[in-house]
Amino acid sequence: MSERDDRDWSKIKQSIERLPDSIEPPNDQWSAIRHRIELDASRLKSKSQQGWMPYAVAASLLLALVSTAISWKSMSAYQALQQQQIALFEQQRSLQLMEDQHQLVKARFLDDFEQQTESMDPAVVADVKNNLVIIEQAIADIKRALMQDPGNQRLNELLAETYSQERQLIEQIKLSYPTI
Amino acid sequence: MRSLLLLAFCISSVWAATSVDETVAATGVTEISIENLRGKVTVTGAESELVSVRGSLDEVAEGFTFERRGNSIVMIVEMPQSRQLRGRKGSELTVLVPQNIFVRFKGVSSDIKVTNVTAGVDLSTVSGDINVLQVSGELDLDSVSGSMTVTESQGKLMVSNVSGDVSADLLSDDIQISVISGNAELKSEGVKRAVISAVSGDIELGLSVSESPYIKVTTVTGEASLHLLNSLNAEVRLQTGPGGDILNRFNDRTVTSSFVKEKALEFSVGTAAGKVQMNTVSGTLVIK
Repeated sequence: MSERDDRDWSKIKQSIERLPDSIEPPNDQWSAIRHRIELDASRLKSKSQQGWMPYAVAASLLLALVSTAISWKSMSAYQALQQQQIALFEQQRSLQLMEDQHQLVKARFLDDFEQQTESMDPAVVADVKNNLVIIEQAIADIKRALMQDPGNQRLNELLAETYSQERQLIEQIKLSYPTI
Repeated sequence: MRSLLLLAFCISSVWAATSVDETVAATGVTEISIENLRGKVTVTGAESELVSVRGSLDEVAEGFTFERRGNSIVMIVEMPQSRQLRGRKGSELTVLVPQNIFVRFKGVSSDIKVTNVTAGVDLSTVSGDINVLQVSGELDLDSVSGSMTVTESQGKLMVSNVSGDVSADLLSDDIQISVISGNAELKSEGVKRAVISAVSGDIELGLSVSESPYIKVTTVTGEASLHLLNSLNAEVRLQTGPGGDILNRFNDRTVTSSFVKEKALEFSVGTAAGKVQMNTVSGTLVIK
């Protein structure tokens, strides 16, 4: 470092030491500055509030819509499932009713039929029994298929038709043999 | 010796078939009702105002009723209550009636043949055969194991049979046939409604149908074949259960099959005004 530099640095140091520790602004200016600062802050705050509010409202609406749609869809799916279950239950109940009626009618018929077989042609007796077994087997086959495919409307119709054929057979025999 | 001769006479008089040859006036008569347990009865319509019967009664018949009751002629071969009838001969009767008379018949093992009447028939047997030829009006036929034949006839047909076969060739707009193990073969023209069912028996139909027919054919294990002889206007639906089969020789529509092996064939043809429905569980359905 040169001698001249030392002198300059000494001057600067002396000047710094002469500076006061704090400077108060003039009394008439401070209130104006504070007012300006507060006004800017308020503006800034107001501006920032106006900026995110529409997005927040839109997001809320969107959220509400999505939520409603999801709820609606879930409700519809639930209702559809519920209706499907009710339909399946009704179908099962209807099938059970048909089965009960079928068993009742058949049991009564077989009781009466057995009592009359002595007076009937043995070939006809064997034929009637054989065909009742055929129908019973057919009903079992359809039921087995329905367990795999419960909603199959055509199979349900075919089952009802087959029950009907058994009733028809019984009625036919009763008509041919009025004592049964 | 004398007592032996008397016994032989008694036996012969019991066993011998009694001949009949009787006639009653039938003016205003609308119906004849015949009851014959076994044997054979032939009823023929004629241009006449008389009802006559000729032939032999059942060897064990106890009597014979042949009389007019109101608008009906009643003919009954009276039989004993005990049915020890083996080895004995049944009735063989030929009955002539006015053409426009309704014929009602009940028999057990008696065959019945009715020809040339116009007011319809109601024929019922257990094992006897039924033969209807050139008859018009309502045809109501019922048997258990007897076969049935209807030819050159016309009118509503209602048939019920268990194990006997049914063969009908007639002109009828309304047909109902129900068999169990017997087979049914039907040819008809002008059919508006036909409902045919069988359990294990087969069904073969050759039908010329009306503009809007209703045809329903149902079997459980039997084969059902429907041959349509004229143009069809109907919704057609064939369906089987598991194990059944469908042969479509009517058009090129494909038979569908589900994973439970039930099959279906559905299509509309013409104006689709009528309905053709065929169902089976494990039999085969054929449409052509």
